[in-house]
Amino acid sequence: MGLAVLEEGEGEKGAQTTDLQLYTGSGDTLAQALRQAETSQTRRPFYAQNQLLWVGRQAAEQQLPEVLDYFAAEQASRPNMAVYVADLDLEELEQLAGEKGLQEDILRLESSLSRAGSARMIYEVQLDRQGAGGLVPLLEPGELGLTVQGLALYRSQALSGLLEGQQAALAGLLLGQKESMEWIEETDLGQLRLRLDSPTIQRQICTENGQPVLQLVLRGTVRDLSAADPSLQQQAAGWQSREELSRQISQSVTGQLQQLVDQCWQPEGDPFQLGWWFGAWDTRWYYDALDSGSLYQPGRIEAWAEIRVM
Amino acid sequence: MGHKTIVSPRQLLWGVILCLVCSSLISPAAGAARLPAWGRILAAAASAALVWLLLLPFMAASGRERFVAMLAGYGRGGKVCLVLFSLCFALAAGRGLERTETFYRYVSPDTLPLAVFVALLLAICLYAARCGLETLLRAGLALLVLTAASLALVLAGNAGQMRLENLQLPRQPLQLAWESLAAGFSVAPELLLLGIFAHSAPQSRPVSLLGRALTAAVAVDLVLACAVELALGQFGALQVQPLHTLARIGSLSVFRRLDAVHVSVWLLAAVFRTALLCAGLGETLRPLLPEKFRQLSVWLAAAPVLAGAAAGYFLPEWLLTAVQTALVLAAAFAPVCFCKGGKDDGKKRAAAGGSSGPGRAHRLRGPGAG
Amino acid sequence: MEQLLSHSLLENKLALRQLFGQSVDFYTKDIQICGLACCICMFEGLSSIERLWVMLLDTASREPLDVTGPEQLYEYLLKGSAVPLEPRPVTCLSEAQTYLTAGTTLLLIDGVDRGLVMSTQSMQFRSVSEPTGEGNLRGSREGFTELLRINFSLIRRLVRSDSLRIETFTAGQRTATEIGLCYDARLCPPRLLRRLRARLSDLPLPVVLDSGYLTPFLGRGGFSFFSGIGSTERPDRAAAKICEGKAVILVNGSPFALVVPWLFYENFQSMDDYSAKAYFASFIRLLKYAAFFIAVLLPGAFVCAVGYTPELLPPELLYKVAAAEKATPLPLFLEALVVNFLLEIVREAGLRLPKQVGHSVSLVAALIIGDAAIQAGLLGTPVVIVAALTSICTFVVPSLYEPITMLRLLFILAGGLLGPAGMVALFFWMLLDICRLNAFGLPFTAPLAPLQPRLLGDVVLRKSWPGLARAPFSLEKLEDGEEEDGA
Repeated sequence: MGLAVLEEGEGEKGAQTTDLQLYTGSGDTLAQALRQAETSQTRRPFYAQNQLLWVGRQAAEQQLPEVLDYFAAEQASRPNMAVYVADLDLEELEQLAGEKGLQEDILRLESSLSRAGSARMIYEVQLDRQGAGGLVPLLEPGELGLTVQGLALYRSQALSGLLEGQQAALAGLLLGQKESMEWIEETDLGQLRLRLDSPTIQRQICTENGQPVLQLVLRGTVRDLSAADPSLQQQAAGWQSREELSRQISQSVTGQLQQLVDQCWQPEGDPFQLGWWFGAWDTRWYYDALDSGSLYQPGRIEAWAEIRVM
Repeated sequence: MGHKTIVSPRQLLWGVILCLVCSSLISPAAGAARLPAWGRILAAAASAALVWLLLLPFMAASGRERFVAMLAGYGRGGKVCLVLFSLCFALAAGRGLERTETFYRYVSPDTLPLAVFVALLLAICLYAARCGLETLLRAGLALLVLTAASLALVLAGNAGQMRLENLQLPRQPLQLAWESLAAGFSVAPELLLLGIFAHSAPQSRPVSLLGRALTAAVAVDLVLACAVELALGQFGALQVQPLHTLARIGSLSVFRRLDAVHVSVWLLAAVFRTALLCAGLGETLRPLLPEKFRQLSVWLAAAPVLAGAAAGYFLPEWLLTAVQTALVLAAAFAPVCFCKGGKDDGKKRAAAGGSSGPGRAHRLRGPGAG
Repeated sequence: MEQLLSHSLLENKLALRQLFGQSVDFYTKDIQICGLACCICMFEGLSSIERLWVMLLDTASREPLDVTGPEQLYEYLLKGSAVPLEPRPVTCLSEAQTYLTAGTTLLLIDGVDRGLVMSTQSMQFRSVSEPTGEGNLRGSREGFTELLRINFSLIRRLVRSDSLRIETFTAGQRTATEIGLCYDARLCPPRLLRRLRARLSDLPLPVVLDSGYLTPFLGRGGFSFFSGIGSTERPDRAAAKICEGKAVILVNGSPFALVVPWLFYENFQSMDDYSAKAYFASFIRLLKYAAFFIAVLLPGAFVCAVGYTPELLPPELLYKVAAAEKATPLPLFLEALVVNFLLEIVREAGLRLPKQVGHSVSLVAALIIGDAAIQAGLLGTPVVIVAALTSICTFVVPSLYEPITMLRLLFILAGGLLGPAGMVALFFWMLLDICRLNAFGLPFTAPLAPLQPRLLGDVVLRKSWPGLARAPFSLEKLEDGEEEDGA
């Protein structure tokens, strides 16, 4: 258990400085470990402005629900912290704490919290309910410091997989992120980096052969087209057939989206709460299908994308 | 002295609405917090309809001459009714103190000692009651506006987090609603104030006021319940004070923790509620006291209120709710029965050739404002 | 029993001398008019010999006087001549005292037991100038003076209506101060007038040197920080209140007129509101309401937030406040009290000191308190900033200066000692204090509480003039609204 405390102080010539102090503790229970960490320094800790909760590798694999339950307690005043799974153990964290980079990572993460959907709050990750799954952002150390590399997928209260790259970006959209999304598309001209603006996801139940099917439709526009290779930029900007490119990008996104949905649409966990739509359509049918196990059959969800290149 | 308390029906209505809304703010009905919003909608509507039906005779009888005479302690059963009202309001005001203190202790890491907090709140509530109904209801309007602003801010601060998928879909909502209704049904004692103070609000129609008060309270309760569920999902159902959790989570610009402001506003509403109940207690206690103590009726109400608070701390919640509901219903039906009995006696006397009519009418005077 | 004047001029002179002692400024002169012995009595400094000469002596010397006896002379002067005498003669010593101290000249005739009064006032007084407070960008620059009659004229000039009435009373056993009651007979409720007359006629005051002395006797009820009686230094404002059906009370010797009844929202009004456009006037009004609450609540809320609910403050601000608190010797709550007390001391000192020295006060306050104390680490910057902001906000609503100042200190105490519970309790108490006040039968918080939507056009926001002109505000409408709601 570690408490990272950012302390404001005055450096040379009165300039304001921020120093990071790491206090650690251990115990049989989380409460004991936290108390030890608190008492290893002289001041009274103040949690009300806490914004980040990092769960280390081992704890994330074995006991994330207990950790979340502890910090979600009302009187602890902490349910609005952003949860991250950090691919670190305590020794690595202590090593990082000695370097200046860790406090920059913390400050960067805190400033990114203002973007809607960019983080997962404790109350949004609900692992204790049967059939609920959770996605928690994953921090990994890299060249640029600790950055979010993907989403850790939890099912039946256990870590079951990772979503990375484009899938993590699409997962962010499904979780409610409303801002733009970065997408890399392989084309004849090479790799194109594009920004999907104003993405919206429409969810609609329709019936096929008497059975309900959830249709997920991702819509968005692409305005900013840039090629990975600068020499292709001009060609990319003056692409002849925008309809063709739109079709290609839509197809590509559709494939990734369907793959993501198929991966996450499991009885042990439904992190995107797609089953809710079936319940909203017909509650009785939903609970019958849930009990019989037919809810999660393949083909229950159809996903496609309609992307338009401007 | 000599000032006659006159308030408008609208003022009285808003005061009672604030009291009812306050119950949604700081003490969600036991068990109902765990109800999904859909079930809560059904339970709240059914509960409100039942309360309306139960209190209809009381409201219809209030404001009439015989009822007013009973409130002054005259007429058959006057004193019995006053004792029932006093017990009802004493328990309600005491529980109000207890709930306010419990809520404050729950949400605040640094709290005052129990005795200091209760003494402070009791003093201000009794002072408010002493100031008179007019003053209290004028203050109530300002507090209602503040509370509405606070709730609007809470909803606005959490609008970004609300998701449709968080709404729970119960298997059998009707059964769930029915079980909740059966387990947690209660009648708010402040509804009786609409009848108790009807004579101070000429041209008021207590029956209509009751309907409007219940509608407003249910509407607010449902909006809040839906907001909690939309933002927190099942997490909200596990909270003891879900609205406070919502206030903690919401943010506006750089102000991420405005819950202290919201808590202060909700505490104000709670104090108002307790003060209004103390005013009701003072009103019903006065005719029961000897003449020389009547001027001090509000201050003498401190003892029964403290007894009610002690009951709130030491007795289980289910028992308190049951006793409170029973007292409210008894206090509501007793005047109706006595009024009807008196009318029948009058008819019999008239038929036998004797003089008829109720005890002499008495225009009550409020403690006086300003 | 009143001592009446006698027929003997000598006895009357002696009686007056005895009444006023050997006062150096009491001037008497024996004269002869038509061969009859007379005596003029006046107070030097209050009356003018030159005016007396012009009014009486010159006139008397020019007009053909066919007078053979003192009574004839008396009748001739009172009713037959062009001499501008007061219509009522003086018959007793107390009346003589009243007239003489008002600056008139008393003419006694040997053989007549009545005296004639001439208005020969010529006392020194401050001229009509711009009021010291209640500054405006537009509108009149005139303010009331200390002389009652001049103040009457200032109002009469603005309210040129046949229904404007002015009545006078006397109050103060030792000062016999004249008090004027001005109202519009068509607009002012009779019940209000009856109450005012009854109270002004029976003021148990030994001295009345300012209009403020009357306030506790005009109002009723126990202690309150706020008052249902307002004051103004501006004749235009007084005239506006008269046109709303209110009564204005002027006191001789005081440039501050009392306005009765005074409602809470009127503290936030100024004459500039009506000269500016409605949208801007509304904006300024909202600023004033906000300034009032900031002035009352901010220091206490700050102390409470830092001490009990620091999560309320954004993190960056919290770090700065925590660093400042760490560096100073006193706890934040005591610091806030000390700074606010110091500000009040500085304000009081600036008010009492002669103008030549007054500049030094601001210098001392700014440098020593504002700068040196912070540099030395005795006081924290956030507390001083909060106190300064609070002071500025207080000056935005000068008519509420007293309650704001005291409530501010109480809120600091409540917030510092009892935390949020204390703030809540005190705020509720303040709200009750405002709401329980009745200004001559009208709720002090009207028309906000009880709510009367039809009369809200000039309360928080100001309607445009066409809207206001269609339904001008009057006290009767306020009372009628009360009756419709409550009766």
